[in-house]
Amino acid sequence: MPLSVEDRMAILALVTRYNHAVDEGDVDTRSETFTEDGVWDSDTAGVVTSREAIRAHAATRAPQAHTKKHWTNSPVIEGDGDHATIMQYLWLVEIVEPRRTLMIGTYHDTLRREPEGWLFAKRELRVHSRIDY
Amino acid sequence: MCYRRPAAGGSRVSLSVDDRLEILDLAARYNHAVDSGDHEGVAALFTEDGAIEATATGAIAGRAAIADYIGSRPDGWQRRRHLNSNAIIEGVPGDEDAARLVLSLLVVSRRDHVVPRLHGRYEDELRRVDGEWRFHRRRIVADADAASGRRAEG
Repeated sequence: MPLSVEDRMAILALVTRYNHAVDEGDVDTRSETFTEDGVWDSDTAGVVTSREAIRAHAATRAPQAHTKKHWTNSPVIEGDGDHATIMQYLWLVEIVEPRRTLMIGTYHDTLRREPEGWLFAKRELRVHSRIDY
Repeated sequence: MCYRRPAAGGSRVSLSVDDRLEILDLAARYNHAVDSGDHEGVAALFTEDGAIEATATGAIAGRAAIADYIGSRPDGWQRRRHLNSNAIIEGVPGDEDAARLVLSLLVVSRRDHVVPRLHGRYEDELRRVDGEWRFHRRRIVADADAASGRRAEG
């Protein structure tokens, strides 16, 4: 069954919830955007497997909260039934001096419909360019 | 101009939610295609007689010409990321297969990491062909074009 408008809006809302959570250092909300067996695979953090491990990883990054904003852009959603993918850009911007662009990358996400709604089964972040920060 | 609010009581045409999502999807696919140097992919997002227009280039009409234009500098494109925001989507009175789209545009690049390389907007005329929304005319209006002398490239 093709994705409905409601599915597409729910998937975009999941991305939005993740962005706000990571920018605010909300470790629980960030990790709960993943399935229990979810995988976070990024060029900056390596591969982190399971919601609990993602929570622990997120906690190590929480001190950086309120210094950066995740701007995601140009989402392309595809899927069928209870599985979906979303590809989108990340533009990571420093919101404190010296207010730089920190990273440009692309998220390649796989999502699964769970009883509580659409969740990330796997997030891959491929970095296009970044500066040391 | 289509980014202005229609006058009160004006003939705003409502597009379906499906149409709006498909139009946003079209804009996103353009960004990914152009940034990956997929010149045929970019051209396929236009109608057969579609055109892309920027200050530096004038109108480039037809899929083959658009593909040539995008393909003429693949290395240049791949250092960049096209980012959009503030989408305004409107229907066209009397033509259910036409729509207009205005988007804010930022182009960020590896080489120019602090300041966006280009900021401006797209002013698009869209047409639905065989059930698929396509760009009929994509106009790139660069805010920085006149001020800095940079070339506007969509």
